[in-house]
Amino acid sequence: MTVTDPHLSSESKNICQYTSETKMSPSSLYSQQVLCSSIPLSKNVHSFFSAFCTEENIEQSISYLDQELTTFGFPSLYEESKGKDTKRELNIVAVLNCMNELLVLQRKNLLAQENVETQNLKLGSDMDHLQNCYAKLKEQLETSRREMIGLQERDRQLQCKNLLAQDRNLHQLLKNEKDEVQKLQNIIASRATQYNHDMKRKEREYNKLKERLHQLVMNKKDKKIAMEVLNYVGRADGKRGSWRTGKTEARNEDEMYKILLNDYEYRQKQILMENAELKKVLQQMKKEMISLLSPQKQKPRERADDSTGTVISDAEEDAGELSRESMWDLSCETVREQLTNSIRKQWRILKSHVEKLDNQVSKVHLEGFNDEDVISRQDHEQETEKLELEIQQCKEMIKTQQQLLQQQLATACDDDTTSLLRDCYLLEEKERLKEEWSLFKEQKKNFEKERRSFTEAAIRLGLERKAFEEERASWLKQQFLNMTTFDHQNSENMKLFSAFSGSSDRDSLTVHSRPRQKKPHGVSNGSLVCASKLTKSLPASPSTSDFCQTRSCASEHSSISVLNITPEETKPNQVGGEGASPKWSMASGPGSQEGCYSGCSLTHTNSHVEKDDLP
Amino acid sequence: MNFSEVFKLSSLLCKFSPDGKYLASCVQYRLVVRDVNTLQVLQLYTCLDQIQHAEWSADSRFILCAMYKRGLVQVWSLEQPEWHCRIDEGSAGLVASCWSPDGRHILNTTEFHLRITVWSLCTKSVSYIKYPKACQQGISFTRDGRYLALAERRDCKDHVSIFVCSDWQLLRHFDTETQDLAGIEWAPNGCVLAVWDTCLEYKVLLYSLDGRLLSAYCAYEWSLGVKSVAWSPSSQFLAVGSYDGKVRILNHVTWKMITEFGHPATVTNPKIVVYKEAEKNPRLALGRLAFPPPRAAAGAASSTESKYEIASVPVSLQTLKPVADRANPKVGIGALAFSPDNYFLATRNEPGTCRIFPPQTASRMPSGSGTYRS
Repeated sequence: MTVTDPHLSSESKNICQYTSETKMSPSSLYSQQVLCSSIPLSKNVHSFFSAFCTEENIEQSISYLDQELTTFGFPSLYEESKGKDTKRELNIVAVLNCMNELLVLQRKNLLAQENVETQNLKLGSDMDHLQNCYAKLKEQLETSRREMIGLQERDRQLQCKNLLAQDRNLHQLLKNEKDEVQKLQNIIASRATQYNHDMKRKEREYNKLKERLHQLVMNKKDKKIAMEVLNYVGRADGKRGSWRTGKTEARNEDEMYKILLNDYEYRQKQILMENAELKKVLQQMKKEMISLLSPQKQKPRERADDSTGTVISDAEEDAGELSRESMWDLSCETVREQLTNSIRKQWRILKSHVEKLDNQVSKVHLEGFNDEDVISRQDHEQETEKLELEIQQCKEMIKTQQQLLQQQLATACDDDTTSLLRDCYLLEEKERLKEEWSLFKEQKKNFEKERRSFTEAAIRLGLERKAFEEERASWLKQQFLNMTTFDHQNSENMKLFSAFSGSSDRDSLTVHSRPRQKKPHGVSNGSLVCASKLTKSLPASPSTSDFCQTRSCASEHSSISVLNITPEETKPNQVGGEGASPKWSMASGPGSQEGCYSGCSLTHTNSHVEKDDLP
Repeated sequence: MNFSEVFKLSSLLCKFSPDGKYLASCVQYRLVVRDVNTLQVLQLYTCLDQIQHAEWSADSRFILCAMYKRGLVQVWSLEQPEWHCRIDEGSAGLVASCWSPDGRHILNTTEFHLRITVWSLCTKSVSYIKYPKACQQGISFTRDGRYLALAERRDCKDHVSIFVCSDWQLLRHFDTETQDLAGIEWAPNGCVLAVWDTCLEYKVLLYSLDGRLLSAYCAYEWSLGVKSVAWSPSSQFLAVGSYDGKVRILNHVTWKMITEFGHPATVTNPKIVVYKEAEKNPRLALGRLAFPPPRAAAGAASSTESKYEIASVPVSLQTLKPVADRANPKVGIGALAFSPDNYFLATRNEPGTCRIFPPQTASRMPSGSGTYRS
């Protein structure tokens, strides 16, 4: 059921002015309808009220109202139905309650609305107020800004004026001060002159006093003013004092001038020396500068040929100048000027050269490279690479060596292993030494044995010799006795004797030569001599032959041993061999036997010892 | 360091003989001569009054003892102890006394600087020199002892007279352009005489031996001027110390300043070694560093023990603002000395600092080490 009311719409418009509601929803419609109820009742309203419910649609309106009210949370208008199909009766109590409730609600809403409206009004007025204030403040701000600008301007102007004024003031002050200073100085000057004048006056007075006093003092002839001396002392230099004459005065003058002249000469010498040194230094500098600059012309890098040209020309010039300078070598004005000029020239050239080099360097840095520069750089780079390689190699070598060292040291750190290692290294040597020691000991033993045997043999020989001597003596006796008994046999015996002795010699010789010849050995002479000597004293007899044999055996033994040794010995140690032979030859007499033996044993031992030395 | 026993001394009169063998010391009116090696007393002389000044002759054979109050000078011989000589100035009075370089003449300055009497020990002759100037350093002998330069004042003008010491003849006499000559000094080579003016005017004049003015030097006007002057041993440099705390060095060729050394109150250059004197027993001491002034009375000796510590740079030195209304303010370079090898210059700045400069006389040399007393 839609309800439209043109009056309502107009009133709603009026109401809308005070409310912000713009939507026209059914609920709003209803609210408007409610609001309309607040308005004093008019006929329209009555008509409006009657528009909803007429006598025809009471039930419908009741049901509608019930629906609406239940949806709004009010209790139902109908009585509780007893049955579903029976018609529900209108609960008037509920209706009245609902009406009351609605009235209460209405009043509340009206109050709320009033409050809201008043608040709205208030807020509106506040807004207006604030806007007004804002506008005012804006204006104020503007005005104050303008004022400030104006004031700043004024301030600036004032400051400028001040500064100027200050400046002027300071100037003025300075001027004043200067004037004051000048004045004071003038005052001082004037006072100084005044003081001087006064001083002079006073001094004159003082001088007068002094003069007076001096006169008085001199006039008084004070006897006390005297010198009392025991005896006069001689002069320091021993000479006698000289009279004061004109000559002495002249002499004094001369001496004075001499002293002055000496001093001047000395100083001049010093200065000349200094000058010469400085000149040398300058010339050296010049030479060095020339040498620095001239090699540049040979390099292709040199760009400006003009400078080289000038350098060359300068060098030539300077060479000429040098020669000239050295010729003169005086402090002539011209020479000095030339030197300084040439040095200045060289210095300028050097400077320009250095500047060029600087430019080159900077260009290289900035632009990139030139052909010539590339080459040089390449070379440079190659060289650096080579050097780097070398360095790396060396470093690697060092590292490896260090590692090895460390390994060694590390392994050597363990005590057992080190000792073992040490033992390993020395083991061979130890073994060798042991072997040699054993050999040595054996040989020593052998020597001992031989020595013992020799000594025993010697003792035996001695004993046998004794026995032999006794036998000989007894035989000689017998012979003699026989000779005395048989005269006719004397000569024969004599002959026999001599023949025998001779033959004995011969025999011995032959006897001995045979075995000798049988056994060729180099050392036969010695043994022969020994044997012959022995046989000279001892006639041949079986015992002697035995002895000889034994001797020869012994000698053989020794000679054999010598023989055994000598071929080995000859080459490495001829001294030993030589040593052996003299010992043999030197043997003589009974002592010689032992000497021989000892010589043999000695040679034996020597050779053995020497043999040991050989390895 | 080993120290001998302490010997009594009065007035700081203790001098070694020029040949270095003897030591002369004065105790009241006694003169004691000791051997240098053994410090045994060799001679003992008794003078008539308290000795104010004692001086060895150049050949170390005589000693003069001056008694200013009595106006007496007594001369003793070392070789002949019984020899005696007494010079009595009587009413003329005595203000100063010194030997001549030959060791046979004594120059006595009488009171009020009326005259200088030259007494001879060899002959009976006496010479008088009139109008000597009463100034700080008015007499100067050349190093070789040939000449004597004497400052004189005649007719309110300064003059310098040069005498030949052998016969005391006047060689040259010339006037100087100074207001009030304060001192003269020969160069070690004996050919140049430096003459400087009073401190009211900075002026250093250089005269040749024959009296010609070689050069005049003035650093500034109006402020107090020259305080001390020293020649270098080679005569190549002349160091001038002034009241403004600067030393200016002149060279002998042009007589112009080649360098100047300042004495700033703060030392900041880290290359400089600074020794600070620390007193062990702080007592009021008037001690002075090094250089005793040549002819002035010595100050009181400091009796405190002190040692030197190295202070770390930067060091700010104590400066005393001198009292403006007193004369002879204690500022400026009071003393200068060159080392004998010509390499170093030592200066004493009045508030108690001593600085050593290496005079490589190219400009702007930083000063070397310095010492100061806090």
